[in-house]
Amino acid sequence: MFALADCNNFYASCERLFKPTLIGLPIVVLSNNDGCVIARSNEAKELGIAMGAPYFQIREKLEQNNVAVFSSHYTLYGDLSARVMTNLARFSPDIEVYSIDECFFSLSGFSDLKAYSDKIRSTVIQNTGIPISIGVAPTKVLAKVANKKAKKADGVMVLEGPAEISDALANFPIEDIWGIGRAHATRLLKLGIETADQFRKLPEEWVRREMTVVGARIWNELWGMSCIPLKMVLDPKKNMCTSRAFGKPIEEISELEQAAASYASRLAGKLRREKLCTNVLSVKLLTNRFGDSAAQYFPSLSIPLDYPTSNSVDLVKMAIRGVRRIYRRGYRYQKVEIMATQLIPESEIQMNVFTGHSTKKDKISKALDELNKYYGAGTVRIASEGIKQKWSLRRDFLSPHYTTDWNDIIKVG
Amino acid sequence: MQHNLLKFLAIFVIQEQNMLREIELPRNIDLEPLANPEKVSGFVSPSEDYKQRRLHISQKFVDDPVNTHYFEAASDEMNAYGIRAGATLVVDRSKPVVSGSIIVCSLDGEWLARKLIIKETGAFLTTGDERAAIDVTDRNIVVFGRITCVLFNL
Repeated sequence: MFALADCNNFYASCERLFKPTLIGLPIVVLSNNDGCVIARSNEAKELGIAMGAPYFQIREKLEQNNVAVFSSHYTLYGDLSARVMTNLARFSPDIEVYSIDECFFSLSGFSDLKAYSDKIRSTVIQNTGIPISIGVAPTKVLAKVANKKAKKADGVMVLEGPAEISDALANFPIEDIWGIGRAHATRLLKLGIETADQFRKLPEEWVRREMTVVGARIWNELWGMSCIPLKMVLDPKKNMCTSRAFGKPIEEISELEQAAASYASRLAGKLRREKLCTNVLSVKLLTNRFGDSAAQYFPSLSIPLDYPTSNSVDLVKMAIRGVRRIYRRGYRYQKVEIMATQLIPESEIQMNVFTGHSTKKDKISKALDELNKYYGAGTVRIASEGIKQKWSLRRDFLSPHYTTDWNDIIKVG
Repeated sequence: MQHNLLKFLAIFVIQEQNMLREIELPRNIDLEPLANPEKVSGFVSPSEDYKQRRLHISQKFVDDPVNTHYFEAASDEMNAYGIRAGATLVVDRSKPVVSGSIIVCSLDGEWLARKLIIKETGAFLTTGDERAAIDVTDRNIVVFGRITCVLFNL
């Protein structure tokens, strides 16, 4: 049996944990750069605030309804997510953290699944303060269905017998099935297939022919035959990207260089944390495609590196070189994207004897990482990243670093 | 001069930041220049088979780091329980809150450290003198968790 635990309105719940006065009140969390709504509490959903709504368009509505607004705070959400997942892992030996707020785990061999799931749920809520729902079923796709039902019930739903399962699928919308993309859902709806139960009553050959093996897998899972195992060993990443929109459009190359340097440096740190090296560094500049009638330009450049690397000095140098190569005057740039492709594990590096790769720069990067770990992110930087980062992220509604910075812990009377 | 000051600050920050956060602390090169001081080049160390992990304060005061949060006392209200302004409060959410627990809670939006008393007549908060306990039964109170430890510098 598979279980899916899912945090209810995760980002909103994280903010609420340290601002309990917001319990029962509407909350929205904005995307990076405070662009649009990416998370809503139930109360905000009820107000009709749409997912993805641009902040500037709905600002008045938010103010009129006293909606609490937050900039996304991934440091906080990441820490609280890790706490939730660690607590869940105490209850099952086989666990797959699927996303920041969802986690599959195996309940095979456990008895009285309802009682056990209730216990898991209440313990996690008690220990973390983050509300979760748990769905349990014979397959992952069905566990997803059970989880949706759990949110409408008392937080836990176990679908075990065939009758329970077909009841649950009878009114389950086709477009909500895990793994059925929008294109397929639209097509099925046109054919009059509106529920999960109708879908699984289609002949398997038809599904396999029209929706490939992926569709057939979902079809089988809906009949209780498990085809999608728990993924406990993660595939190594093939590429990695840092990109972000600027607080305001940039025209000057010096500021673009700074931004590129800063993102390249962050990317290098990310690579080192995952013990990976990159063979190719890509740089891309983007003007604002939305709401800007100015001239558009999206140049990009991939730079093959002499040797696979993760050190900040090399990657920053290459990123700046890339920006200089593709930059053209007269455009208002909204975003820079730095991407590392063709990643390989550090341990697999074969040094090219002719390149004379020095380990000095690797040592510098290591020292950089350690200093920044002790003194806080960004304490020591490569000079080209700049000191006054005018282009930096807009985060006007950021809450404190309650769990990661001693200066931000809450003071109590 | 500046170098010394920097070094002093470094030690201070490292202690401040890592005291309670990690049990496996990263090695500080200045304080621990030797990566493995037990390693010998000559005779095998007689202590080789008797190695145990050195004590660390967090092992004693943080049972469950995953469910532990830290708060700071801003007043001397709870002096009766050894909590004074500036003290770091260790709050372990996995520990059950019962009547008599010293807790961190939010009362109508104000964060407080108090002793919780639950009676048949309702829930009360006190700073030590139970006759002066305030009734919070019908107020907007959210208990964050139980304070398991109080720390302060001398």
